[in-house]
Amino acid sequence: MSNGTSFKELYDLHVRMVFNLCLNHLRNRDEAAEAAQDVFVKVHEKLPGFKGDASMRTWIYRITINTCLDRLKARKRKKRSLLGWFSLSDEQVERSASLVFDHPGVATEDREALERLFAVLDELPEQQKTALLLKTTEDLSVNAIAEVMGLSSKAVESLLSRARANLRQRLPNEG
Amino acid sequence: MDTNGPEDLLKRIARVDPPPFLLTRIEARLSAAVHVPLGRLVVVACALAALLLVNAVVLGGKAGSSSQLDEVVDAMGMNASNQLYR
Repeated sequence: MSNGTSFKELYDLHVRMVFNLCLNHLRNRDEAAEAAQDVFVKVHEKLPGFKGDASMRTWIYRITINTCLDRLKARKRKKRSLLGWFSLSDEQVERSASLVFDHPGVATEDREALERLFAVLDELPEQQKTALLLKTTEDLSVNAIAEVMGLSSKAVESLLSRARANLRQRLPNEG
Repeated sequence: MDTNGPEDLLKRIARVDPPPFLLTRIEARLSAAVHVPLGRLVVVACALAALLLVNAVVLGGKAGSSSQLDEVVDAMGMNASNQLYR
């Protein structure tokens, strides 16, 4: 995988997954495109060191998730430093850190409900949110999620059930 | 949203095609990235260290030789002054 052609093959094979995963994490088309670029640049840089312990797809999933989480943290840090003057609470910073919701995969009739749902998802612990997004939007099995997240299947099941309980608790009036 | 509501809602998100310019931008970033080989960095670092070492040795040597000269002048009772008529 050392020449341009094979990188192109790798790109063709995984770009749809990478871009959609970025989109579901960041919910903004432009930022998802930037994140997807970061992912493939990292893949290109780290490819010589890829030992094949996991499948290539699993490895790219990990890079994508880490890249998105880093971007979300950076987004929050930036907002926090800008809004520090106004002594806002963590929750207020979290809300204001969201970019304009621009997800081309969301149907118009679902948009409002999904915006609300994503706002709640952003308040969940990172691992719960990642597990739930991989399960629902990527349709991965518990075993596959466990491989991507480097956890046991039991741990992933536990994360999913805690995420569901948290959502039920935080979205009680949605019916 | 009922109990499964949030998950069903997330499952309804459609997969979309990535923008067509993505690969071009990635290739541009990859070609713009300047990779300095590690070997070259090591050579430059060694050269700098050697230069500093040579400087230190030369300066140390100079300081040592001047103090040895003073010792010789003192031992032989020589006058190192430039004043000829005293």
